[in-house]
Amino acid sequence: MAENQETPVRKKEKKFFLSNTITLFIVLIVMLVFFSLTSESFLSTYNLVSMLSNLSFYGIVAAVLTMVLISGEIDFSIGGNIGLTSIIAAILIESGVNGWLVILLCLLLGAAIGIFNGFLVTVIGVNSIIATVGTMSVWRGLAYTFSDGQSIMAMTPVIDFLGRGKVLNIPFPIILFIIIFAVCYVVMNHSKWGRKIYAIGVNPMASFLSGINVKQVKFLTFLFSGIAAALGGLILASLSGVGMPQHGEGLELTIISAILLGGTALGGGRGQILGTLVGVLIISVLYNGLTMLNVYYYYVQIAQGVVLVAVVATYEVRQKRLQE
Amino acid sequence: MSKFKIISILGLAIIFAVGISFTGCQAEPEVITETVTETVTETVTETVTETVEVEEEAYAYYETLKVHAQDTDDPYPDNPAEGHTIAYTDIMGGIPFCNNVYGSVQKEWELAGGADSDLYYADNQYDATVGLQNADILLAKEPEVLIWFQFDSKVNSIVAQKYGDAGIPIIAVDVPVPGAPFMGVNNFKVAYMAGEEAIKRVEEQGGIDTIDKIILMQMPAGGEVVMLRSEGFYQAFVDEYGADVIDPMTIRADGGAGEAEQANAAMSDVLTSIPDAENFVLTSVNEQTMDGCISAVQTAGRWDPDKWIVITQGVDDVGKAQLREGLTDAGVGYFPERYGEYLIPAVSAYLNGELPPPFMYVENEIITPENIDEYYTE
Repeated sequence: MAENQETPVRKKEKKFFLSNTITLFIVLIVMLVFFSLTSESFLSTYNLVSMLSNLSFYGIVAAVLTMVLISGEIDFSIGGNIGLTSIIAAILIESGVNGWLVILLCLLLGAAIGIFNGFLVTVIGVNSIIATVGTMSVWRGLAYTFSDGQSIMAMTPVIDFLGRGKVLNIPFPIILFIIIFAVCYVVMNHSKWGRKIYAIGVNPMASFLSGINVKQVKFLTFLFSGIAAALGGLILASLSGVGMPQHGEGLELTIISAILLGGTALGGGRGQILGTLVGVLIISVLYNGLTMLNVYYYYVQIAQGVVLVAVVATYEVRQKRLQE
Repeated sequence: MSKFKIISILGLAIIFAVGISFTGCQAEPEVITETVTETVTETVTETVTETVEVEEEAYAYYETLKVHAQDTDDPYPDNPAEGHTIAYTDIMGGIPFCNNVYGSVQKEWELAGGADSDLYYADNQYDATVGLQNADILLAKEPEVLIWFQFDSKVNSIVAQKYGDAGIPIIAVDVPVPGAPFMGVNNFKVAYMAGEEAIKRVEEQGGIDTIDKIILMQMPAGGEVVMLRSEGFYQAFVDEYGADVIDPMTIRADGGAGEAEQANAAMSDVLTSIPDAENFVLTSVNEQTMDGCISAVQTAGRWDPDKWIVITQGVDDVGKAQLREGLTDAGVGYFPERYGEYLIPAVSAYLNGELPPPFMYVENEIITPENIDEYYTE
């Protein structure tokens, strides 16, 4: 009973996050209305479905990475992980390995990458920015080494289905995207483990003193982040039909932008999976809509930056007011 | 030992196992070279055979419009693009070569009667993932023809499949798309021309014995056809001096996806590996990568124009500046500002129920500091 009772401060915080998410939804809806009025094809089924399919692979990574950020850490190696996984998948497929086994091995590789990052951060004690920026280069470098810098065809029925298959006429990556977001939402909002992540993000020392195994929780978030990025790499290899060492290059910034846009604090302890979902959608809709309008990419970049800064600044102003 | 320490060690073991096994799978460099050479020969043979088979009459509509576009700046007869929509993707917006190509497409599209708003544009940003996203966005706009300019040839098969399903023809620019007509340079021919120009300069300098290394800054990500852009250069040297002389002195480096930064890093690595070499012949796939290479040489303190024979590909605005500043000795001109004179007639052919030829190669010239003003006024 006591666990469910909410203090006035907690209630205020919840209201704050809710209103942030509502603000984001309003931004998203305004964008949707604007683009549907200015571009005939924007609201077409093909456009919306393909947009969701194309964002699914990084949306999945964003959902899981949100947990890492809320715990007060960060994982910059996701882009390198995506590139490496896509290359390993392509090499395995080229060598005639069964598609299911390719998926299993790539997810294991993702897990190993996550474990390595978690080991550096929680066991050795390396700052997660330094550790994962370092491993990002390692994974990317390995991808270039294994592929000799070339893209490799990655087409086999099981892998094809992962990125381009359909279930009840819904593209499979969208289904995966929805499932993973739903799982992350439940974990973060309705499980003890989720509450532990928030608690660690707010105050790791207090969490430790209250009996939470801080290192273990953080370690697991890195593990899941590695697996999610590997899944993202597999989906991307399937969507493009090739494994490429360049896959996922620069994607870490897009994903982290989407998470920050969704209201997650870089310092940890604050954030919502639902916010990340809307953040991912906003970034994708903005790119899609502006490209539909023949807007040059430089202006798209400016627009994405302005939206990110404006929304995050709004959060900070409101957070200050809340604290006052 | 705690549970997650054990898991950590297992994880590390997996990473090392994967690393060791894949490193073990690496092919020997000699094998790669052989494969490339074989592919070069096959592709050239195929290209020549197919070109010979083409009957010019079959493409009379295209040829008429092309000649018109090349000869005058007057509007095309009968406004073939009027009321139609097409899509164009840029390999990387902002690069001089790409700006010239798109500017030319816009100009010719207008001359063909097309409205500016009916020419859809997207920037592929040298990123295959962005390219795929753009392919979908443009497909949703249902253009009648797609002009596709994207750096990775293998990704193009997915794009070809999507547009094939929608019944929208594609014209590939510089990098092939399965089943689509190709417009751009004959990569082997331009590379061979560059090789011959370099040989001329090697001879003027005293012969091949005066050269320590021949560096080919390549772009494997562009696929086999783009590889011809440097392999043709190598072939010209082999034809002149023999493989036994040229092979030991040739260095092939991966210059990335065609941008300066990656080429710069690759060139730095190459220079580090040959500390004693002094006299070089250098070529690369485009002038952005050449920019990166030259800056790496300068940074390494090994730049001496008398000891470097540098031949570029493209001669875009960057290439022109390199020639005028004496950084490069010659470049094979692709005339990107004239690509539209081939592309829009080809597009017009599709829009009017005709077919463009399967290969549309631009005519190339060797541009040097001495003759550049004949082609481009400063």
